[in-house]
Amino acid sequence: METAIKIESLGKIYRGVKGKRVEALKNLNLEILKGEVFGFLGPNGAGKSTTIRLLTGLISPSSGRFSIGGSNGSLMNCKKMVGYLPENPSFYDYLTGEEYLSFVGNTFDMKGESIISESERLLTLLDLHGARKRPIRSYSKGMVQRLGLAQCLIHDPEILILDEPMSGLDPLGRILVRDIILNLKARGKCVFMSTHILHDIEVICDRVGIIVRGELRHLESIQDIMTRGIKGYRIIFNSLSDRVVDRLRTVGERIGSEKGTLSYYVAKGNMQSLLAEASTDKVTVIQLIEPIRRGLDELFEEVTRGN
Amino acid sequence: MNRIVAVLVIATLLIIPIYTRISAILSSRIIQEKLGYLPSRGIVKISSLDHKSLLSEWLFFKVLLYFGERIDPFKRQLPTQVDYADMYRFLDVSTYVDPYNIDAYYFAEAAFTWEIGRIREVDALLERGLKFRTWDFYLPFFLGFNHFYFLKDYKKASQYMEQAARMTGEPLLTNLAARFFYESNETRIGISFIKFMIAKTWNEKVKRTLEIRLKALERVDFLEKGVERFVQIYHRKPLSIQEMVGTGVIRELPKDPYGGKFYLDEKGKIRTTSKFAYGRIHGNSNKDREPR
Amino acid sequence: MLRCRNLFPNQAFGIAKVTLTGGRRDKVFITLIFISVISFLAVIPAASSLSMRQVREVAVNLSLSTISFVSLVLTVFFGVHLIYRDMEQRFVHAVLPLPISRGSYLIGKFLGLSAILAIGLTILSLFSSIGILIASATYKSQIPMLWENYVAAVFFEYLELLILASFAVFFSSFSTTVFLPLFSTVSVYIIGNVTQSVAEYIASPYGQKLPRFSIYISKAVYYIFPNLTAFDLKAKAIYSLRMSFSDLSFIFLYAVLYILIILSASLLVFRRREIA
Repeated sequence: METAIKIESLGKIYRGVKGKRVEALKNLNLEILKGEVFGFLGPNGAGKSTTIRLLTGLISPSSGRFSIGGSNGSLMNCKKMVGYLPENPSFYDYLTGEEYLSFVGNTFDMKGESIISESERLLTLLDLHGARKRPIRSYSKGMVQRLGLAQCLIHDPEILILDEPMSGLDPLGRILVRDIILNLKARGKCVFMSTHILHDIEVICDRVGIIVRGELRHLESIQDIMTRGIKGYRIIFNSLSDRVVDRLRTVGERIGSEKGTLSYYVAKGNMQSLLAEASTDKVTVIQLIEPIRRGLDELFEEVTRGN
Repeated sequence: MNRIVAVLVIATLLIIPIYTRISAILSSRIIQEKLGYLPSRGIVKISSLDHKSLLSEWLFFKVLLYFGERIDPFKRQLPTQVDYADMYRFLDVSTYVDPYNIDAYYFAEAAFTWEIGRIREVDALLERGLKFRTWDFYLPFFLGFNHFYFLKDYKKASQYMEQAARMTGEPLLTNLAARFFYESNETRIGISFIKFMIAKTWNEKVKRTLEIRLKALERVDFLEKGVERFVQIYHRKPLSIQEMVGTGVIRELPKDPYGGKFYLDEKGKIRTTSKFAYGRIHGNSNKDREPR
Repeated sequence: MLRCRNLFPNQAFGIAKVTLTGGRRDKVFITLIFISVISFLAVIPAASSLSMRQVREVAVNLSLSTISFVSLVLTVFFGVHLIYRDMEQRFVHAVLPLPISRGSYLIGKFLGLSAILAIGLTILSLFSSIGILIASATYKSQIPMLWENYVAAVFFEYLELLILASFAVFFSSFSTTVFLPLFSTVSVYIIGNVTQSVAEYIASPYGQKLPRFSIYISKAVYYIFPNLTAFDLKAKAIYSLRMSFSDLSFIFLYAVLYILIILSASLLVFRRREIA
């Protein structure tokens, strides 16, 4: 697949007062493909925002370089390929939603008619149509967030950089945004998003990068994390034979019983033999087998805490 | 980047000759120094906070510029008259805000006594200043002169002069003060006073006005001396200046630097149709016109 | 055509339009203009009639002074907030990642402010003209009213304000507070208005007695700071004095070049600015 965002040994050093140097980003190497949704994870102040500000040209790198959409380095060309949603966005609040979209469309040199039709479509999609003629000043936080998504989609960019796209949204809003992102992915767009909400990443992202104190510590596909992460299973039995109970005493661990069911935890390695045992038994009835994973949150904690 | 630097350099290179030209245009322009509106002196004083001297000086400066421009015959192109009342108001506020501002007192004495005869107002300013500048002989000296020359209050004049003389050892002043007691000739005291003022002034415009005044007084003095000689010879007062010229007591009739004509009034005093001021010759408010 | 597009790309006009919209909808703008219009229509004709001799002249004088004061307040207010507000409210975080170059942004902001001021001055001069007409109806002036002088006075006032606005942009291009641009711009206004008088004073015999050091300083100030006295055509408008076309053209060129210099300097600074 084609590369959408290519980051090569990118670094950023802030010079504070009295010559204090803060290395906000150290030697970041990252390649994100077209059609990929990349989740960028990290504790506060880890360098997520710095990376995104570098990619959007708000600040300039101290070392390294990046290219977006295969453009040869010119920042202006990079910007043209990108739709960007800032973190807790704030837009010219004296404009109406419609006016702001038209302003954004205009900066992408879009034609008048397509600005009108696209903003109409997006305002409806993001449930802002009723508020389109109201000044942004009067919008709620969630509405501003949705407008932010509309303004980065208006020119149908190949690459989206979304900083905390779910913040400030109500559950319905989240579902809406999640569906929009999944739809973008289906259309082969590249989405680079940062978020605190691990669940969203599990659901939306293909790959995740964890950044800690300016360094990229972990980079793995969600698929791998999910399979590699299975520690064992929870098995709920409707009924159990004594033989299987004996067996479970050695390989499993009883974790609960209710309404005539018993649930056991069985480690990954013992599952195979237990199932073999149970399958020969007529009395034992399994209601449910559920994998117990080491989730993204545990991975995140481990990567962040570890040296 | 380079494009911006290029614009910067080219614009800077171009602006230099243009600014030189503008500078020339501006320095040859007609200055229209407006005095304008001034709130009451109490408000001005409160709002000046701790910049009283600066504000006082600025007000004074405005008056000076205004005056300087009106007095300059080459720049008298604006269809407005000199507004002495406004000037006085500015000086009043200036000295009220900062009662130590000697420039303002000096200017008031130099410009408001001879030119427009507002002696009482000037005296009021000076009296107020005297309470603050207790060391300054100028103020009692000016007051003394005003009382002597304009108000003819000789007793008060000598009191002020004594006060001034006590404050200083200035030879010119002690000399002048001494003459206040013995000399009855106003013109000669006026001449000495103006010479003193000229010696102390730095402002060219004020100096020029004073010099014209001095010239006028010296010519009056010349004529008065002529009258004295006429009385010595003929034992009577001359009927007119022309008679003095006719009899050869004086060689020729001097010109009034203010553009008027000298004449003798009923009491035999030297007067002029200009009343020692510009622009009064044609004024219809002039009550005592030239006789005949 | 291509060059023109390069100089002022679409994006700069977009920013200008947005800035203008913001200005038009600003409460300060609306209130100031409203109060001035009232004063032109009611206060100025009444106040001028207090003058016995020159009602029209006083009306013109008061009108121009009001315009100059109100538009100065507008310039300083909008000029200082122009970029500061975008930074403070984090509008730039959404705007600069769009394909808008720093140059287009800065120039667009300046053009937007110029448009706000143009609209403000147009409204002010229209209503003040009505006020002057009312005032002159009460007492006939000896001097003919030259409206072209009045328009010229307002236009050159506008140029003066644009120079100030460019300074506001310049100071905002590196300042992170609102105070630096505010005080610096006001200082430039004050210095620009006295520099000519100071230079003339220095050139006079009395000025020669000043210390060398202060003479050099004043000369440097005279050549570096904008000379705003050049833009004061009030006397020409009040007394309908003749104006020299070539003089005015020089002053116009001076303003254009000065603004170019300050804006390019601002751009050089703003390009390097890190937006955190």
